[in-house]
Amino acid sequence: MTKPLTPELREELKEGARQVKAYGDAIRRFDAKYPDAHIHFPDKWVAIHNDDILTADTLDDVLAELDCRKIPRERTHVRFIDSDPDAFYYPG
Amino acid sequence: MCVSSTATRTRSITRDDHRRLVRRKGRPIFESELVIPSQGIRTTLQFLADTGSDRTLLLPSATIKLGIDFSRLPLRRGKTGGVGGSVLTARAPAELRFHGANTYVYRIEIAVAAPGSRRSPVDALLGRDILERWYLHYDRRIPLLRAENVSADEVFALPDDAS
Repeated sequence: MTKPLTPELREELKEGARQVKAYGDAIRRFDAKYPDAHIHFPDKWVAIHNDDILTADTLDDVLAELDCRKIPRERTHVRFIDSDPDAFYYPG
Repeated sequence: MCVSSTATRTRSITRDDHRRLVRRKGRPIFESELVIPSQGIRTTLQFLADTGSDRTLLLPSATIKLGIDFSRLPLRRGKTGGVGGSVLTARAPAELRFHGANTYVYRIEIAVAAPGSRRSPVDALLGRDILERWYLHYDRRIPLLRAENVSADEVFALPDDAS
């Protein structure tokens, strides 16, 4: 069923587009600045939000740091950076 | 008190259209907004396009990051098998919103993996429940993977000042 494009939905979509853009731009800045991230952040969990980069040894720790700084988890990219740049990733 | 962190400021990069591949180690990654109404979640995530995945799957670390209450997900639970083994999953009605020249909305039942800290470079897998609704063109030259909508549930013209 198609939703009507109400002013509220329109605003929600606008905000969503802005958030996705900001999220992606932050990741691309990180990747451009650290093409060798495995050297800078070996075996670390890294959280990327705007121009903030937080690192920790565990997922729980990096999330706790986000919460402490009141950085919204839902708009933050979190990834594990393996020290082996050739590490094979398989989903599942 | 927060522990120390590394803060950086870097140059701005122009916006990529959602249809264009974001590459990291050659992985086909798309960015999308995910809405899970039953959990009050509206978030932005990176999805790894995975033609081997039957459905879109939120990976264990993302389940933790988003604070999803796995025990209260409304739909059936079970094991989901993969090349890396199996993982306990539940399902929830969800929307994926891809923002570009238009906003494309897809309504799916997303599989949510039980929380865990398995190391992952991405948040989620984009499965065939979405990929089969796209026309995909794969090429090693940039853009590596281009997707065009075939059957979104809804398409909205992008609001003027968000483009």
